[in-house]
Amino acid sequence: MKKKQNEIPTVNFGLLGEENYITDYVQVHNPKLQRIAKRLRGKTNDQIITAVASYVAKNIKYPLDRHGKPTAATHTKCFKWWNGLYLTDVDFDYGWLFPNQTVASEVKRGICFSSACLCTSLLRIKHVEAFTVLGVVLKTKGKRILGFHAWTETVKTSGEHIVIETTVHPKPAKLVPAKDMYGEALPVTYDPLAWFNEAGYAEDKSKAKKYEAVLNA
Amino acid sequence: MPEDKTVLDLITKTRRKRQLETQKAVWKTFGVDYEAEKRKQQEIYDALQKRKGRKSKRKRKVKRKKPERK
Repeated sequence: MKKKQNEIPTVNFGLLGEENYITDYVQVHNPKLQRIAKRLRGKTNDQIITAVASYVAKNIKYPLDRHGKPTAATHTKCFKWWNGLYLTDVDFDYGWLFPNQTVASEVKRGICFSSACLCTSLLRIKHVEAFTVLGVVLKTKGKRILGFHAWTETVKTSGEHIVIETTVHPKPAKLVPAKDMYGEALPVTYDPLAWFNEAGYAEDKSKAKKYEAVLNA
Repeated sequence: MPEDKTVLDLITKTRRKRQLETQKAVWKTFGVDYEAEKRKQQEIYDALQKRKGRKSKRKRKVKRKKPERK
């Protein structure tokens, strides 16, 4: 991971298009998440990691539309005015949920970013070193860039860094050593570009430049 | 936000591009059957359409024609 930067970037992917610090998406002080974390028992980091990964896989689904395409579109209504009409009625083609929204009983769904931030939050509440990682997925054979993705990176009791793929459900994905996931040992390779948790944010600007032309094409 | 290009700027611009292709490749690597996931969504949609159809049929039944005036 790169050195943490002093300036924390913001994003405006909230349900109402509101702006938030990226680090706000790891919620370690949220009461509901703290209650969930309390139920996930484990004495060692490894046991806690397994319990958290299982919880996320079992409880959070990936949102697909009726054609089977990933959907991150949101529509928020508040302040009912009259029969179906609301004073505030906004929709966006893309949005991120906070971990406490992802676990809300009416939701229980989240794209890669939302489920990864939930996973990172639960691990951080349990005092396990963890980050949400934003990066690019490439086909290992041929190095073709597929697109952006998010996942959780955490540290086992032995000190080994592992990747938790949080979009797999209802059974958790196999925990893969980060050196394998980033080192072309699987059919797809994850290339990390940015790391964050509640304490800070770091990114690799040179990689962002490298991928910009390809991803914008 | 810093003025030079950041990873988050890049995500903001390219957020919805290639989401399906990426997710399919990720799921394939981790042994998820994408086609089964896709079928589930179609089944939900079909069930909703069926329910919708039944409802409108019921509405049509309830409607009565006004007697014609002679």
